[in-house]
Amino acid sequence: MKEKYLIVIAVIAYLALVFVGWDDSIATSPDGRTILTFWHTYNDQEEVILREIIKKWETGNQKFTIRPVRIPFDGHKPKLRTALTVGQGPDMARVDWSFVCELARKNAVVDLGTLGFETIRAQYLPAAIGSCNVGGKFYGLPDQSNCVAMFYNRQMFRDAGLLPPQAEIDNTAVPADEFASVLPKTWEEFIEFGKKLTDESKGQYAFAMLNTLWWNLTFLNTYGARIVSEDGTRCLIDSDAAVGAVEMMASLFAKHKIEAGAWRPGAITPEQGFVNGKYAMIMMGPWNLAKFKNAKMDFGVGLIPAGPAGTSTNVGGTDVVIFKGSKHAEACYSFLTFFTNAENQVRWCTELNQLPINLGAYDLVKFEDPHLMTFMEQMKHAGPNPVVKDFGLLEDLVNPEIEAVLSGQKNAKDALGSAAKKVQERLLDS
Amino acid sequence: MSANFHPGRILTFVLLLALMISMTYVISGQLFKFGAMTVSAFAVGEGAEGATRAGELMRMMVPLHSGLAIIMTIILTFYVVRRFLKTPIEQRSAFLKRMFLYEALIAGVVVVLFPFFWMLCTSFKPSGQELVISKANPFDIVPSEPTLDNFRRVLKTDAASVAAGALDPIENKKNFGTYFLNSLLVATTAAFLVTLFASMGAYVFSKKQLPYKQQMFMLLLATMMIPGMMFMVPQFFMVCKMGLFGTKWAMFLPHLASVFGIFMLKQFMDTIPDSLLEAAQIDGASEWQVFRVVIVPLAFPIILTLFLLTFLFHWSNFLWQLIVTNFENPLSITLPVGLALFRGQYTSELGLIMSASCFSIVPIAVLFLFAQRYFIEGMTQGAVKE
Repeated sequence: MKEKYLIVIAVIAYLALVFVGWDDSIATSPDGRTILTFWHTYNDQEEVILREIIKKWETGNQKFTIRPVRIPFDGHKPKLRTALTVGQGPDMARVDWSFVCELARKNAVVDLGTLGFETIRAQYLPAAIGSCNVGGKFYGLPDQSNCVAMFYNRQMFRDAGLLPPQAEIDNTAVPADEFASVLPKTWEEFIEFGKKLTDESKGQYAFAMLNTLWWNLTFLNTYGARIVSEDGTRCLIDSDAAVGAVEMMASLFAKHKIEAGAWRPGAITPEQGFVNGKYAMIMMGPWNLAKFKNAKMDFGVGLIPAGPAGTSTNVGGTDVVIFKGSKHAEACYSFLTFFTNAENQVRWCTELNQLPINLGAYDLVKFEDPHLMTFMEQMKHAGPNPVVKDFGLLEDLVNPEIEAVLSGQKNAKDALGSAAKKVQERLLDS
Repeated sequence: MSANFHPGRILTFVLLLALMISMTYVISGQLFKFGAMTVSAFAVGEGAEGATRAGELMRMMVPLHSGLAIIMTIILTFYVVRRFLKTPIEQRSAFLKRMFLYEALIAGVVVVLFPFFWMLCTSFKPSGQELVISKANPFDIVPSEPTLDNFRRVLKTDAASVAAGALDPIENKKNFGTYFLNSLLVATTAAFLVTLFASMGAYVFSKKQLPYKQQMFMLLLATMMIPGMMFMVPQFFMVCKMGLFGTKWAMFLPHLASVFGIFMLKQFMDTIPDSLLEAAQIDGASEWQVFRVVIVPLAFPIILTLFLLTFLFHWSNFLWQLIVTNFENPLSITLPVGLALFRGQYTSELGLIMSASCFSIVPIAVLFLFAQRYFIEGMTQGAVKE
């Protein structure tokens, strides 16, 4: 009997739920203007500024209204692929830098050259715009760019006698650059520092790294190694420069024992080890500056140590593209160039603490946070990303080979030779 | 020396007692601290200052919660020692065995519930502190400066969201409550309809005579071999053509024909003797009555199991729901998709994800609590696990 009551109550509750919540129509107010849909993946703070910039653009373009629609970054690729298949795609979208090539090869996005992009191309940061360059044509423009630099735990440096003791300096007032002269400039110096900072008995390591191609580009770029040729037809990952870079990476773990093995499955991640004082240095992007500050850490940021090709870093971030399905590509182009012009970039970057992608904004942006100035400096030395139609596949082919080197199962020359062969066959030639 | 004095037994008791004391102190310490933390978090306002004030409040409450933990440990210790001394000597070995069993079970419970506790604690941590481990005691995972900001942001009751929501009513609907309600509707409706159709289908395949029945069933089973991803684009195409894009129907309509469900229920219904059906038919029962009065009550545990499995599937079905969501309309966003909005390109808002997860496990926990007896029965009887 009791169960019957329960079932009856459940059914009534369900019907009430349907009554309250089933209707999914929502009142929108069309006002006669043409709607341009912009799918983006910005967060709350970014969206507020985006909407203000949109309003500013709309005052000069009365015929159009832009509807910003947030989609999850995690699913933006399948969402766009399926939506485009049935013609439900937006007019423009913000996508991961690695997705532009796939969209261009599938003939889904507009070649910006046809809209006059050549005249303003020089405004954009070369490393960032590189990800939109597919076969010499530009299919998007960067809206946000990132790179990684070397974060270091000042307390651990002090404990190892590499920095003056706390009493002599007021941490909050010291700009990050003040310590620049102390930090390791080259990978050789880095290893020397590493030996002083590592204490295996306490589980403390000088350095921790991840093993994915995007993170490893930092090492490879300091050796001047390239993954694919500029025209995108040949894989160059087995070059001497790349072999040298991977051998150096492996030596940090196996020979010098200053790397914690954070790339192994199940290990403490660089980020977690860093905030808990286990790893003295990690490579990290500017997106974690606020988090580390909230964690009340005493840390600094320096340039990546130089290899044979000097200091360098990778490039990450996102690009904005216009879809061929849009009937108003010119209006979209007008908005996107407005959105990324120097004036709006200055505002965007200053308020959100992000790195500018417009070179015109570089001299105008002044961050209160000295660490961001280090990132701006580091960004100038960024190497280009490999532009391939499926960056995920490139990672899948290369990462296991580099892991085999790191764990001592293969030597760098063999592993990269085999990676180059696979990439050539399965990605570039197919 | 008394013949009944067993040094080994005394030693075992002391060891088990020591283990029990340390476990009780640590567990109750964390639980009481969690209680104090919740009170402090509720007592203060929004933002970083609120968290600092909550931290001060918590420090003031240290004597209280550690005192309670100590009192609890002492009471339990006294109780166990008294029980041990009262136990007749010949039964003491059994007592020790039981004590060991309880302690092992409690250790098991701790292992199982630890991730949930971690989730609860993380949801109270301010941004940036999620991964910080206490230096003094690595096992102390209760935050020392708690805040309710994550919950406020998830439910959009923080100052910034309220201000933004006042400007744009559509934006205001983009909150956890909407996503939760949507998911609840989608999962419940889907689970109900799937069980209804699957049980009717299974009844026919199990008990009725049809030409080529076996071959049809094999054909159905063969579709299970094809990965669901393969259907996604054609199904999406159909949903769009039917004009259902962005509606709740689109979330589950293509999954209503559940071959797995038919297979699972058929396997069970095969075990129901035909004579029961014949008896009902002789008494004048119609086809529908046979199904409702004989089949459904007998197969109820397995039907409920299918209901739960389907509910779970739709509650956490990210990819399909992502594809058919119309993001311009917050009323079509479901929970798994809404949760993904908290993750960025490089960073995840761990605190936000954890606080939203605290809510999202509630319906599943409630369902399991009510139906666990049937669920376990159904799982073993169907002998099919997912």
